[in-house]
Amino acid sequence: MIRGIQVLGALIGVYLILQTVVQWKRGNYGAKKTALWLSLWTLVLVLFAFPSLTTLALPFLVMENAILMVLVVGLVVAYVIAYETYQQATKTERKLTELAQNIALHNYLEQARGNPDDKDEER
Amino acid sequence: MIKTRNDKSIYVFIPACNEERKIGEVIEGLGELDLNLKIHVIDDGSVDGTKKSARKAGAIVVGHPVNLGQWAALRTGFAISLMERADVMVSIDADGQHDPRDLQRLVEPILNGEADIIIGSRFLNGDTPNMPKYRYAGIKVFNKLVEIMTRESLTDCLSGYKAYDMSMIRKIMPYLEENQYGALEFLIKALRHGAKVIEKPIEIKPNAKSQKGKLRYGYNLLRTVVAQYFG
Repeated sequence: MIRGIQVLGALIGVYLILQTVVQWKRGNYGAKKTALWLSLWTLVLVLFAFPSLTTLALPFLVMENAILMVLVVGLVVAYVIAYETYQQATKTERKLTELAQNIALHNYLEQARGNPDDKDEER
Repeated sequence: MIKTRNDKSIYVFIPACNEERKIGEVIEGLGELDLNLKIHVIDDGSVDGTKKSARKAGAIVVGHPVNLGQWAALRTGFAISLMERADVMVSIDADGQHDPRDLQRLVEPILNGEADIIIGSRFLNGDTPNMPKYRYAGIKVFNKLVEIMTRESLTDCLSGYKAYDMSMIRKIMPYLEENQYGALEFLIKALRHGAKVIEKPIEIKPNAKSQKGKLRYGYNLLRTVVAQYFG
């Protein structure tokens, strides 16, 4: 018998797969990133739909309890995603800082050449 | 042509964010000094009239389109000083806490070839500066960390009032990684590259409100110091 939580989990999985496809179509994700997220969400979908499959992985991870295994693996995945997000945010922040500094230097040079930035004068 | 002591150009950079009330006073104070100063304000994404006040007071204004933080503003200052072939660069806070008259004392050892970096120390004139206890404790901790990593004992490694010999900046710039919270990265790398750093006492105006000392600022400074330790 299918339980409510399975249906909910599967629907979330489907939603995340669709979101990933949309991001790929918009050109926001490359092939590698799309493949990574699709694999992850498909795994989530399959595990919610067929929870008994988790027991197959128990011997490989040397664990006895399926729920505990899902929790541990889920936590590890969450940590990886959090770290990846942090790395990306740091990279973006650095790029934005460099961009803003380059704009400032460009305006400085323009000013030095006698072309003051009109927008600056408004403040 | 060899520049004499008086020919040396001194570029002053004032990182400023929403300091329209104080910035004019700082610039005018600097303008009264008998030194060959080129005064620049790095407007760090202000939304008030900081740019206008700075220009009115006679400074050259360089604007960051968004707020990037004090160190990022100084990095922009480093880039301009290098482009303009400045000899000495000075950083001073925009909130009026630093006395422009102390600048002479800060640049003197560089003009005389006695040091590469001069730190204006708030703790060398005998009085404990008027600042929250947590910030005072934080400065002590960072002084100790810098000492552990470089064996250089400083009293105020986080002072915003500093003078730099440009030849030292030129030497260290390629090694800098941190763009927003790099004050200590710069200091540690400079000391490791043999820079002579000395401290001079400065006066602090008690009413000035410093933006430093926030938790995020402290965390990021610590992160950069730890990175230097393992780097």
